[in-house]
This record gives sequence, C-alpha cells and structure tokens, in this order.
Amino acid sequence: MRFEWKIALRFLRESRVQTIFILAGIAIGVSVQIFLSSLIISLQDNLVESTVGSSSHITFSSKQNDFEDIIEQSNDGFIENSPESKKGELGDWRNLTILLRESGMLKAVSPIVESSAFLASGQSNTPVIIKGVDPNEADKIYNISSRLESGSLDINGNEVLIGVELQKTYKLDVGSFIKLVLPTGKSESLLVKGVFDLENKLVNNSWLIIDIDRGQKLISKTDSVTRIESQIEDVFAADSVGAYFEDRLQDIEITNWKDENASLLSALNSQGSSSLTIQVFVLLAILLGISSVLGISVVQKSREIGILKAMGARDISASRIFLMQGAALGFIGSILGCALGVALTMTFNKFAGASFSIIIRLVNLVSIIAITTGASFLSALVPSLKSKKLNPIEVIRNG
Amino acid sequence: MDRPLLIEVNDIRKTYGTIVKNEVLHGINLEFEEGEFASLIGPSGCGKTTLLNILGILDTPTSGELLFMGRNVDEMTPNELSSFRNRNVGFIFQFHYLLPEFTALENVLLPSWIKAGRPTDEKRDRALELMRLVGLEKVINNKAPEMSGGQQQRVAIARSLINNPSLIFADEPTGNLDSENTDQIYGLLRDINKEFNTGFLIVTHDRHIAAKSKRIIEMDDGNVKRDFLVSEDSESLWADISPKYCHECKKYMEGQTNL
Repeated sequence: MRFEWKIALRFLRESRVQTIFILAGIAIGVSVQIFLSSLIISLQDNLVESTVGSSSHITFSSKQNDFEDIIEQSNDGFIENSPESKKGELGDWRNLTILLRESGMLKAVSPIVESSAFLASGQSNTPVIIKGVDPNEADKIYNISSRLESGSLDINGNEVLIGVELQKTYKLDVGSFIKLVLPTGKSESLLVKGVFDLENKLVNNSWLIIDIDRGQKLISKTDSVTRIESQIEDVFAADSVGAYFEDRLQDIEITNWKDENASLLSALNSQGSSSLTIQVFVLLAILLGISSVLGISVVQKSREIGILKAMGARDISASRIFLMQGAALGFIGSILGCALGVALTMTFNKFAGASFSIIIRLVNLVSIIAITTGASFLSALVPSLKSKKLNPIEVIRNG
Repeated sequence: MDRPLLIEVNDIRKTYGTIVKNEVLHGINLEFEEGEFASLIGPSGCGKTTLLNILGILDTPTSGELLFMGRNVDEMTPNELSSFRNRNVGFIFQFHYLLPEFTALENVLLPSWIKAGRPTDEKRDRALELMRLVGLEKVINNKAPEMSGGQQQRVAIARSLINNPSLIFADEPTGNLDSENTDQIYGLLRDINKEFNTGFLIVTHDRHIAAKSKRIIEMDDGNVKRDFLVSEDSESLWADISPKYCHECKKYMEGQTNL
C-alpha cells in the first residue's frame, strides 16, 4: 500500500465525526439512486411485460392488401370473407416460416389464420375471433399452457380452446360443444378442449383457438395464413430486428410492437429520463458534499501536509492523499448506500403491496459504485489542488 | 578542518514582497562541513529562520548560489528537491509538527515511508532503535496528543534521523520546553552528532545553549556578524557572546562587583 493511502485513510479515520457524516450523506444519496432506478426499471419491465409479454413482437403479413382494415373490421365481426380480402393472406407462409425460424433471431414463430365468426347460442349470437394456430408455437407467444384453467392444449380436428369469459357466459365446460357461424354463413360444431385465462377480458371473451389445419379449412380454404407472429429475446430490439427482415423480405409487411405502442414507449422514456435527472442531481449533491468536506480537511490538515512536504513528500503525493480520500469516501459510501438501497427495496417489496416486485440488478449496483467512486475522486480535485499548492514554509512560519 | 563540505553558500539574498521589497538576507556566505555542530544565533527578525529554511532547501533564495553536497540546488526540479530533502536533510521544529493521527512510532517512520513510497518492515527496527536512543520506549504506540512536549520533541528528533541524513536543521528545538528538558534534548543532539557524525545547525536565541556548540554563527539584521569556532575555554566564550544586559554578571564573575 502506498504511504499516501495510509495517510489518506488515517486522516479519514481520525476525523471520525466528519467522516461518518459524509459517509451517511453518500450512503443515503446512493440508496435513493438505487431504489429509484430499480423502481423505475422494474416498473418499465412490468409495463412492457404486460404489454408485449404475451403478444407478437414482430408480425409478418402480406403487403398486397391493406391488412389493417381487414383486422379492424374483422374485430367488429362484420366482414365477409370476400375474395378481395384473401389477397392479404400469406400464400408462401411455409417457406417464410422456415426462413424465419432458421434466422435464429426469433424465439417463437407462429403462423396464424384468423377470422371473425359468431358463437350461436339460442337466440343470441356473440362475435368471436377464430385463431387457427400451431398450439405449441402459439403457446410460446401467448403462454396458454400455463394459463389454462382446465383441459389441455392438445387440440386436433374440431377441438377448440375458449376463454374463461365465454365459458362463464355460456356455462360451457371441457367436453361441451359450441356452434359457430362463419362469415360464409356456414356453421360448424366445435368441441371445447380447454379453457384459458389470458388475463384480458376482451381476449377471454372472444378468442377461439383451434388447430391451424382446421382453421385453414374453415376460413381460407387455401393453403395460406393471415399472418405470422413472432417473439424475440430482447423486446426493445423489435424495431431493429424488424428492419433486418424488411431489408431481406419482399412483399412482406412487417410491423413491430414498438411502432404500435409509441405513446407507451415515449411515456417510459420520459419516466426513465426524469429518473436519470434525479439521479444526476443526487450525485451532484454527493459530490459537492465530498468536495466541501475535503476542502475543509485540507485547511485542517495544512500543518500535517506542510510537514510531510518538508520531510520530502512530493506535491503530487500531497494531492493524492486527498484524491484517495475522495475515492475512499465514494467507494465506502456507495457500498453502504447499496446495502441501504437493497434494504429499502426489500422493505418496499414486503410492505408496499405493489402489483410488482422491485428487482435490483447486480450490474446496477456495480455501476453505481463505480460511478460514485470515480466521481468522488474527481470531486476531490479542487481540495487536492489546494493541498498540492500548499507551501510548507507558510505553514512552518505561521506555526 | 578538512572534512568534506556539505553546504557552500555564495552571496545569498532573500527579498520578501513584490511591491514593497524587503530584503531580509543581504548576501550571506557560508560553508558547512560534514558532522559540524553549529548554532545560529541572533536577535528576533534577523533572518535566522529564513536562512535555515533556505539552507534546508525548503525555501529558495532570491539570488545567490547554494551548493548542497556539491549539487547546485537551483538546478534541481521540485521532485528532485523533495527526494533530496527526504534523503539528506532532517528537520526539527519548535512546534514538533507530529502528525496527530499517527503513533509515535509511525511518526518516526514517516520519512522512510516517503522515501520508499510505501511502509516497509525493515525500517521498523531502526525506528525502534532510534526511539530507544531518545528514550521513548514507553510511548511507542502513543499518539502525539498523548505525549508530553518533551516526548513529542524526542519523536521529532528520532523522525529527523530515520533516513540517516547528513544534516539536521533545528529551529528553536527547545523553544517551548522547560530548562530540564532543554538540557536533556541538547545533550541528546550532541550525542547523536558524536555517534552518527550527523551535522546539526540549530537556530536558537538561548546563548547558554549556543555556548555548548562547536561553532557559532551570529547573525544581525540579515548579515552574518560573526562566525567562529568555540574554544575549549567556555568562560571566555560566555563572555564573548553575552549580550549587553549580561555585562553585570560578567563583572560579577570577574570579581569586580557584588550582587
């Protein structure tokens, strides 16, 4: 250990009250930074997860028709499956699916054939959406298997999965039959194989999930799908991954969740930047505190510095002693702050009763320690220059 | 004397102030040999401390030349000056200037830390030996505020010796000690001088102390007034350096008057 370290640490240790106060200041500041940043990140994750956790991140459809219109109308359940709308379907979906899977960039690729229909029961008809999917691929996107209330995901032929709302409304159960009226006017009878709860009332009230082969026979009658849905590992890369495929695929309309949720993202962004602003100001307050404490310390220790210089300590050593004190305060203070921040967060998680838990990331702690230590080192620059310039003669002459 | 020269001073001047110039040293010429034990005396404000600080290369002269162990101090960089001071010069000040955060032993070791860049174990034994020499066995781990003035000054003496310097500058080293402690400290400095051949230049206004030196440099108003070796006959010396107010006692000693 360099002797400057020994002196720096001894100065801090012997000015006990001063050191404890500034360490407490740093620790409180850092704990607020950790709590705040973890809260904001967890909240964002929670919002993003609830927004896109169980939906398509990047969607591939045909460019040949204004597909949005079809979706909107079909959601209302009024569209006739006219020949025109078929132009919007993906004919070459098998090759495209293979291509997308082989790209290795998507963690789930789920072709889907979709149409509106009516669930007929006695006098009333309820508009529903039929989704023909490969249940195993769709499960990767919608997490159906883990959210099945009853029955199983294994659907074949005329078997159907229904939402929990429909189940309640029509008092259905696994093994019940439902009667479906298709846009073409034809009606079909389907066997309820399972009941899901996708935590969305509209979905639970309108989605009917059937096997893709059956869906094609019912809806498109040709070997095409409505679109291909996909999920990626890093949700925020949806736009860049989308752009990657856009460059490589022709006649394919590619949409991503970020474009469709611009207002949510901008809210998250401004939340993130206000959190950053607060953190910067907290850090600034910490640095001013360290700088002023060390500034006072230089004056208090001017005799000691003078005598060290008289004994042959170089000017740079005299300045290092204070830079090291700054770094040591920042390092120890931020570690204490981490402990305090973690305790604060655990208390929040236990007692605040929020709908989500704050997760503290190790990388967050490490970077806060690194930033605080580095910045504290810099905040000691002014005091260290004062120490560097101190002339031993002045000190010795003035006793 | 034909011992090697430690210090050679040629026409050193020191001026303070930029607008109103105040020259406090008016061209000092001095030579200082290895192992000398000299006192620097003179009235307050005559420039003793200024000269001492310049000789100890803590301060720089406004003009003139200082050769220290044959090296022109003027040509050294600040870092060279620092290491040179660390290796070759020791300081003992009136106000001890111990670091109160450190123990007596650590204070003694400080110059060796500065020299090596980091604390080393080898120096510890030497430090302990020096502390025994100055009679500090019992307060090795005491911090400065836990020691008496005399003890603190002994720590400062041991500290000035740790790097085995060729010359120790002492500015009123017993200035705030009682007479008993003063005698002990001077005895100690003389012993060290004899044992290690360490040169001493001691600023003092106490002529009784000066009389115990081998050489006396007397300053007056920025000039060296007298510079002479002390003869064995201390009584004649006593008379020689006694200030005027002591003439009465001189007469008494010479049997010319009764008190």
